Amino acid sequence: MVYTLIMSIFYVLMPVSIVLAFLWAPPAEILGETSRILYFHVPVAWVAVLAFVISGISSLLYLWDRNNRFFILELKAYHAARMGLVFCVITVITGSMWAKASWGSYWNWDPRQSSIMVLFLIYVAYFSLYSAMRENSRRDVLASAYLVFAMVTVPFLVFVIPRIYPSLHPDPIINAQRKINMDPAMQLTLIFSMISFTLFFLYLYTLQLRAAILQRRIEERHHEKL
Amino acid sequence: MKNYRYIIILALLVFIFLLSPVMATVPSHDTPSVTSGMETVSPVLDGNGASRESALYTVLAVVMVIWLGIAAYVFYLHITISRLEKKIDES
Repeated sequence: MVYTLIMSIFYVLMPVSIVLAFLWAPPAEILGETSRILYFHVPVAWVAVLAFVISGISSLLYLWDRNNRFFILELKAYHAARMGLVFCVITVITGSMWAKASWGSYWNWDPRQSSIMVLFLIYVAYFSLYSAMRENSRRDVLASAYLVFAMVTVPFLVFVIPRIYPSLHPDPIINAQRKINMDPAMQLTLIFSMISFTLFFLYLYTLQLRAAILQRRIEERHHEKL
Repeated sequence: MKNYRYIIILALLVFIFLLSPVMATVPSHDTPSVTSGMETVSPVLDGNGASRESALYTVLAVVMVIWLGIAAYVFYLHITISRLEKKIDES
């Protein structure tokens, strides 16, 4: 029931967010019409962080849960990290497009660009590790331990480093003054967009998990028959 | 399958319902509102104004088409997975 509700809300909210972003929200000063990418870039970045945190927490629970009280935690961690990586790539792409429009170049080695690239590489390394240990019986444990350490780096790379070094990046929405310097219409559109993308992530994540569970069930049946 | 049809119809109705007041209050962009930081501005009202507006609608249309493609594919995946789950449960 909850799943159907999330699905229905997602199918409605996303087009509403798109229309709000293009037709209702006013363009920002200086940045002009290019600022509309904000309603896609920021939510996608938020979803990437959310996915990485989910993968880290699932891994932590997997390592802690010796009696297998929780179900498919290692799969949850793996798929969350995979989705986080996809959203991280989309964040880099949308950010580069915005950088080209605002700063004249796709890549400027800005602290925020560099930190997201480091984060991207950390998770690429996770997938290399995961696929390299295909035959290893302790793969899930080692991969989970790696994901926990990867999660620890997320707050530093996303929230701390870009705030320490001078950056070309627009002032973060959650800034040092704890003040949102934004037009109310823009704020509302951004909130709508954040909710839509979060639901989109949850929906895709659930679909992936369902497919993974199905695969596992089919494999188990196959082994039983043999 | 019938449930999905109801969901689509409901989603469309809610979509229209949610957007109708918004579309009625779409700002004309004639007067800029004043706030600090990310302030709003009126769009360029020179000779390029109309073409910029039409470009905005073009981008909106492209994004909407992409979104519809993604939504249709995700919905197809959802149905396929549900069908497979049912099949495995029955067997």
